[in-house]
Amino acid sequence: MFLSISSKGWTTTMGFRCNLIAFALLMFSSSVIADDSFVLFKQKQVLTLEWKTYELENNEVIALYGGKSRKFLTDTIYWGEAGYGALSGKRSGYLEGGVFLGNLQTVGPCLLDSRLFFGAGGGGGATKDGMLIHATVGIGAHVNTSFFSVFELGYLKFIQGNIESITMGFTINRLFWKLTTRG
Amino acid sequence: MIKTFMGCCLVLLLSIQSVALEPLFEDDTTLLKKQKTVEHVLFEMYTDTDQGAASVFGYYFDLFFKPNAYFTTSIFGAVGGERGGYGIAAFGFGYQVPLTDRLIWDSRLVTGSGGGGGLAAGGGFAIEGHTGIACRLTPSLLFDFKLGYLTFPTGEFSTPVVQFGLSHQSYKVVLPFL
Repeated sequence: MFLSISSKGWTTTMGFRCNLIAFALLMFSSSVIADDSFVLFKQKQVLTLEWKTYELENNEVIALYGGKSRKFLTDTIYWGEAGYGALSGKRSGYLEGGVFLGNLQTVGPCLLDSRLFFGAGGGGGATKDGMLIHATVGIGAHVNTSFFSVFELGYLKFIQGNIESITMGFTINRLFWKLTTRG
Repeated sequence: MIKTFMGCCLVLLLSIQSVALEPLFEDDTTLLKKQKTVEHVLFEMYTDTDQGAASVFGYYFDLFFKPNAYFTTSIFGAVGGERGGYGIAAFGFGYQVPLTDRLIWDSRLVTGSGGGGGLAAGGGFAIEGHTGIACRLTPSLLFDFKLGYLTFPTGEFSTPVVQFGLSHQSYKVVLPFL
């Protein structure tokens, strides 16, 4: 079907694609330029896949899933950024994104995870005011040395809007060392 | 007020980020491994929408956990077809079968969240699969051409997908978390 457009339209579209491909080539070629003297440092980080659900206005339930990256400042305190998109309900295009500060503590065989998320959400016609704050506490356990999962409960509020709700979530997490250099 | 406070907190966090870096111990250096990654910059055409062909432009990142099997994440946004604001983000798994020195058969299945731009995507849950050829142009640069299918199970929209673009293969150094 995409071939059945006018010859002028096809030329314009092809020109646009050539520009995109040239841009991609430039990006890839610049990625091979590197400094050959460096000292490696490591930082504990966690990559998370998350499913969460809460209520919008009028008891409308929405489920979202997304990912987050956590960077540890100490053994237990972390910060990071997260993004989510709508999975179920009727709000396709609803998104959330923001930053958070949290604490992941090992207590016996369990993990206790508490976090404060600040960000923006909206789209899918769900809300006009986007700024939101979301506090969660969770309990989890290690699956192996580098994977763990956490079940979370929380409270979310759109600061200037009418949406406020108890939230429930489930995360699958992978611990890893991020290698980096200074300067 | 709250925006200023959050802005200050973010600046503080970013500024103390470098303090959290630890030097590698001698034992760590013996554990270092290399891990294959492939970054794709791709153009996708949706051939079957209610307003004619639509197209998206975006990025895949493949992280290999076996020599030929990988975990992939993707993000795409609309660039054509009266669908401004449409986007999709997904993750999933893929598998490569080397055919010759230059040709690789590559297949992947991802699930994610998408919508916007007036597309009938229901709640946003998306399933997308592709299969096709990757042709090695240089040791690290590949040309991708794949065919696939995208469906939103909670909505009405589904379409065949034609995908092409460039990929860059590299290896990153990783320290396993033990």
